Amino acid sequence: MTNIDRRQFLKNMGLVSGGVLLATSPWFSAFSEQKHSIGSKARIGIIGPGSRGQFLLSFLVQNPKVEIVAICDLYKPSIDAALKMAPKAKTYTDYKKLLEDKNVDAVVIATPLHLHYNMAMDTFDAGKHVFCEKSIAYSMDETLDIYNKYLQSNKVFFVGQQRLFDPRYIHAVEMVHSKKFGEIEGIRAFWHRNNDWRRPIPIDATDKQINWRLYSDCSKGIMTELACHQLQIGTWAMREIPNKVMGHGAITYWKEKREVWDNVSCIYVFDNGVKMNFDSVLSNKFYGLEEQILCNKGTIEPEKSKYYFEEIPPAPAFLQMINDVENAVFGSLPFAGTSWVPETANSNDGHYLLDKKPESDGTSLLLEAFAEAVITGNQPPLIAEEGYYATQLSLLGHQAMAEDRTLIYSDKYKIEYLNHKKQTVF
Amino acid sequence: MQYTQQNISNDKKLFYAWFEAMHTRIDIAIYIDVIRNDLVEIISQIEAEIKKYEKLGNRFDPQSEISYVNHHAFDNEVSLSDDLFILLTDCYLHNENTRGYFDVSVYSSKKYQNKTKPFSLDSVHKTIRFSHSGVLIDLSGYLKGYVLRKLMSLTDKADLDNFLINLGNSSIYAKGNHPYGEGWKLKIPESDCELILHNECLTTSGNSEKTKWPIINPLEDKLVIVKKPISVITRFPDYGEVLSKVSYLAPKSEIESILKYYGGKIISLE
Repeated sequence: MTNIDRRQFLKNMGLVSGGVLLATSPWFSAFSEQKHSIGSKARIGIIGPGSRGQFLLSFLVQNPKVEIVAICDLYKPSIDAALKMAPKAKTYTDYKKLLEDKNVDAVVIATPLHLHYNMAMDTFDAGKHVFCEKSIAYSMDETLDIYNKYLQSNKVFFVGQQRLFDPRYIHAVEMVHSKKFGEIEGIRAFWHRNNDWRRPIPIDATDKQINWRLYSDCSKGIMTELACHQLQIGTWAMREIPNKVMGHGAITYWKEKREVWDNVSCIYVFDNGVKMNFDSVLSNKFYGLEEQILCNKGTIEPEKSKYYFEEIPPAPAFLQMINDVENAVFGSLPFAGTSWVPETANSNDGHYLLDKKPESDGTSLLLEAFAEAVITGNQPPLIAEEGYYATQLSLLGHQAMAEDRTLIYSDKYKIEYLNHKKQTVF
Repeated sequence: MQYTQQNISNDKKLFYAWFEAMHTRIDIAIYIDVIRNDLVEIISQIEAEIKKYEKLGNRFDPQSEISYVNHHAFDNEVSLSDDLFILLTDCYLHNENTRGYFDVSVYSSKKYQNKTKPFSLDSVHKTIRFSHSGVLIDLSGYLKGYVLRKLMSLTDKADLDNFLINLGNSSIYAKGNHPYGEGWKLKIPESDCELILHNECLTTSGNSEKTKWPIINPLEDKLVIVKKPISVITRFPDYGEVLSKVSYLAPKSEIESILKYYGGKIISLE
């Protein structure tokens, strides 16, 4: 996205007024110095240019402020595919060698989850900025270590939570924060699919290399790969971290070789009693994915890009009349006609959050923000913390299901953010 | 009920309230003195009145009085509340006055024979009895206008002189004046027709581009193809409901005299 495109994007979102945008999404401050960074380049290395890594690469190579200088993978077909997009990049099979490369300012980590920890820690130790695909790490201890390492590093740390830059979600959360729908009374997040999540294995690869998400020593399955995205919407909208979680996970349908659940349900409880549910069934896709934010005056479905009022909204024609009267105009009310809705039915089709469907899910803007932050060296506020809690809550939910008990968020993993900030005693 | 208000000058304001009832939206705009602080209470009374008649006359609600009548008035004589008795008496009279073209029992499953009226009312005991099985009274096409007539009395008692009430876009009553003009200016989007209502009602019936309601001619028991809506202006909104139905059912030769009887004027005719 060029600068002009970005301005148009913000304008289209009705978010061109920086104050409103930054109040809801302070990480957009990454773009505040973009004029000064013209001509500069973020020199980025990619560790793990597999399917997700190539997806990220496809956006990075379009950014004139990014130079892909290095790529690293053990699997040659991934290197070959990445070189087609970034032909000048040096190639590595050992990520530690890539980290020694002085031409690399920042590293994008897009490897299987269980590999994130060492790679992220080593990248910070090498004095480089980090973009880590979500979830951050395989365990809560590892995630905390990485976050603390970032704090000590004075480097930039981004997590691949692209919804933070998705216009639908930004607009939805902005409306929630403005109290347009009253108070949040519940959040229902779900991500349903009807496939085995299994990818074909090339002749020169192992099943674990390709389908690592299905192995319990590589991934926590649904929680770290799907829930992580959606739980972050809950904390963003609520501006609070839930402190209690319970749930159940099982393999109910895909009973072939698989070590992770294909059916999970978790309840996260905020301190005021509001609950955030996360459900995923991998053998039914009818309802797809959504994060339904249920408020006492309305409902928002950001994925559908829609919102619904509990009560009917004012009629546009009457609002126009009020506007006309303010301007001393004797205008007409354009509404007379046959009945507004059928006499027999009552439906609420809602309203669209945006005038048109956004072209991106936020990934391109997230990566642009990362490049800007790498160039300026300034970490945008809260983006690391949103990513941190998205991972920790996913892992805590997984643990609650694995242990089949209700868990309280441990003080050990609390950081200085939202309701987990240490209380000052006067 | 939700509302907003805007001061226009030091002593006048525009008050706008809206809510949902009768499976449609209700909008009320009032141009009035700034010092009037009883408008929320008045709108609450209006809302209660509308919902009272919805509960009474919605045949799709199994708990409504008209549902009870529809289910029992063939087997037994059914006692009516005062409100429903008056309403049905009016319907009966409109049927007479329109030579049968206005008929709230038009959706009955079996047509009556030998010109027998489908229902009879006993004015002494305030009861109703159907003349045969399968009679169905459907007030959908009449109730909004009838309720709006009731609201005229209510607003008179509340000393409201300048206001507009919209019941689902199809029944509109405007009294007095807009803050910056005489009467209230309306536009019918489908026909692009603009008009000013001043102490009058605008009622629209028929089908729009989006609807395909089955409309039956009660005298011939035939489905009538109605593509365009018809709007009529009348002094009273219940008259508007009657005329807007009759205008696409009766032959043109008869429409004129019925319009004259009710004092109505057609705005658009297919």
